[in-house]
Amino acid sequence: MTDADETTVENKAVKLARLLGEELDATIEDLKRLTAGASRETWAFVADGQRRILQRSRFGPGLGGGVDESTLLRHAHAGGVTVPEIVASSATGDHAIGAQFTISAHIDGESIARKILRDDKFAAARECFVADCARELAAIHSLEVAPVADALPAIADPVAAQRLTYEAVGDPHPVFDLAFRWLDENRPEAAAPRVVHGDFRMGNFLIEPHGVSAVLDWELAHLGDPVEDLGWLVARAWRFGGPGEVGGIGSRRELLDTYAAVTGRTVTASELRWWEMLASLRWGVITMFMGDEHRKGSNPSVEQAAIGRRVVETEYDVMLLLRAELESVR
Amino acid sequence: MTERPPRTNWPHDVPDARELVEAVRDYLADDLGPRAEGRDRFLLRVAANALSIAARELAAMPEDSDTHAERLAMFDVASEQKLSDLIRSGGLDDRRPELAAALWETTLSKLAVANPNYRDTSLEG
Repeated sequence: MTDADETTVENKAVKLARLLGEELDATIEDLKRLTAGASRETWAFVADGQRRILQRSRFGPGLGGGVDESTLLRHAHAGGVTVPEIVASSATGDHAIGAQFTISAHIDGESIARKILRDDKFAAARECFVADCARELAAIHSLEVAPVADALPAIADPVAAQRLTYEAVGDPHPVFDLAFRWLDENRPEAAAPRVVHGDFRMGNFLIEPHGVSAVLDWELAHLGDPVEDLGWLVARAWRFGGPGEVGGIGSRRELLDTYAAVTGRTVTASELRWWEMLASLRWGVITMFMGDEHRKGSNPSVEQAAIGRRVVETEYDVMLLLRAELESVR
Repeated sequence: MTERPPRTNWPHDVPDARELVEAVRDYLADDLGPRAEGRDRFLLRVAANALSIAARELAAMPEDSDTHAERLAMFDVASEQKLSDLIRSGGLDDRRPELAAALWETTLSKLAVANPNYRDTSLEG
């Protein structure tokens, strides 16, 4: 970080601390920026002695994703999903703190997969990880839809959504073409739309030694088929080198069994494979898109460039699934 | 080290492109990396890894390209785009096992360049 960056961040922090003080009618201390993306920032601070987290976005709901996170998170919290309690928020698009922001209680926990998968202190959390995931998914998928119907985009055709991005990049990948074709031919029966987290995976949970303490990162939430969340959770991209199929920890079988036990809904192994293939394809299309952003010069960085070369990892994952499917047909 | 790698890049001089890339990679990974902190340290690792990919690609070409052209010819096309279009239009639906086998081989050769550690033969069944 250069000196100029630091000055900008400092000015930003002074201004933000004043705005937060006005919003919460509290004394603000220890304001620190935790993460900064192209359109989102996360800050930590203390308001009248209580630890708080601010997430703010440059875009209001309806733009850049379309999720009204404050409405969704309040609903999820009331519905028993393990999410931080919202203490203040705005989604009006014109608030001085951000076009959209939430201020929530700080929750302790580790999100770094490498530590969760390997540190001794998380041994018990690993034991109950799959059960925790199943319980959270059950809570999310049984949320009443009507109160958040306007807060979330509805994705009626998840395959079409990925194909659109793939074709927009315009870089031919025959493996993906074959996968799209196979997904079209083998679509599971349409399910009644439910709240889907959209990015439910290792890396987006806070984990305490006793288990999951928060489900984070709701900006991709939508209404759709709940099995999408299970397929994304088991995709190889989110195993971080761990041996298990579920976030590097548990097995697909264990996930399906515990999910059925808490929801009463049986998801078949082949249904899960369909969604897992779509999940790999989705990650593949994202990596392709990011590499393309670098090549177009719109957002050049060595990190984006390197991610572009990860496309083949997802082609490999897709081919593993396709080969298993084609062999079972023969 | 006494044995030099073979020279193949006439009329250019040596070290060749791959050797230069490897030299820079080692500088980033072994000299700069350990001295850096936080995000710089992470980005140096990413950068060194990107150069490893470049070095492997330089070593694998043009052979990979030639093999790829042969695989495309099996389906009477001359480009990746044409193969893509043919699959999309359903033109290879009746040759799917053969297509899957060819795509599998291409994927393995791409993976061997981009990230050989990602391959897990225990998943290949």
